[in-house]
Amino acid sequence: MFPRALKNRDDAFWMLEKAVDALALRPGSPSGPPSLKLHILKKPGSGSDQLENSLLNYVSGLGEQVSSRFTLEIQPFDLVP
Amino acid sequence: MSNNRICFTVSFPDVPKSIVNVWDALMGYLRDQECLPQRFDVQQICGHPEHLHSEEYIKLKTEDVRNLIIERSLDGFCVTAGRHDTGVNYRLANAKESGNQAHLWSMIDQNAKAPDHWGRLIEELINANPAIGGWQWGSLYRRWQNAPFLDRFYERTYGQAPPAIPCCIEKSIDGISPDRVRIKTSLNPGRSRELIPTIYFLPTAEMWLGPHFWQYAKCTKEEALAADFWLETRETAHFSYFRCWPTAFTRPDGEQGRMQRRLWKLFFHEDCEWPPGSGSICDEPMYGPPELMPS
Repeated sequence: MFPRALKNRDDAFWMLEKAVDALALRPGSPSGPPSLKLHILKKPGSGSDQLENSLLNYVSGLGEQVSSRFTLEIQPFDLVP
Repeated sequence: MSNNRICFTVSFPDVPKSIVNVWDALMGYLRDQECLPQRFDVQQICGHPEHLHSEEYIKLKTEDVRNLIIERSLDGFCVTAGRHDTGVNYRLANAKESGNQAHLWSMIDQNAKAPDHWGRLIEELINANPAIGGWQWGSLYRRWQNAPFLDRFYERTYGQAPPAIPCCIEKSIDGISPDRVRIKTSLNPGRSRELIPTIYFLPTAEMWLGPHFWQYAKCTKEEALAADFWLETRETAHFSYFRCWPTAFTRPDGEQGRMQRRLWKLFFHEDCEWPPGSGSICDEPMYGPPELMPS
């Protein structure tokens, strides 16, 4: 989902918030809401506290129906061997 | 500075008959309040039939969103305007496979151009559509009192957690993420309560309760209206209005905490405590984000 390079930080946050929306607003299962997980790969050594804070703030604003089943995973991943 | 704007929701037992009328009411209110964005980014999932689903957003002039709703026969919408810290998001979403209920929901960033009181819009919508209810709240207080997990984000955003906060370990859903500590919020004065999937009751300073609310409450409308702690009540053909505090709640303790406890006891015969484990409501403010501490 959203495999794009974005240099502008606000644009990147915005795109990730939209990824959260796409997850949150997709059809649920009749037996109950599924778990939602956003898995982000980051460049090793780069900071992600601000991104994590911004995204989790956004998720908390979506209400308990979304925030209570949402998991955010930010994992270092080196594209260059 | 954490986001602490006033947000609102209006919930309906069925998807409103005219989505465009809900849109018009929302846009009209924003225009009157001089908070109408010129353009919106429109999501193509919410309200869209499955064959039109796309992760791309459409950028439209505000006046053109109405035509999109009509042309695509949408049964909801999700629109955003502005970016980080100045954004707004309005969405009318239904519960899909979980039922026909729907809710209009707002998210307002701290520095966004948006109203700080939604009462007139809530009343207009409930007058035009059968409703469960309408609520408005301070964003930070709701998020704190309903925070689902005890983690770095909790501590950074809401401060130190009360020592006796009731928790349980929740296993990782996929074995990749670590296990998490889930907070049991069921005695927090500012907790919400799911009435039916996607529809929540919130004990707020102002509430607009429609005829469809009372089937979920443990009291009748007449018993609620007869309670002696309201600052104001109004009974209309389409909703009952209740106000118990001059401003949106910001604290779970002191007089505010005791007022929320009265709401829980009245509407659901449930109790509250703050801080967790105390069995009562403390007098002095304890815990929570500095922004919500009395100055």
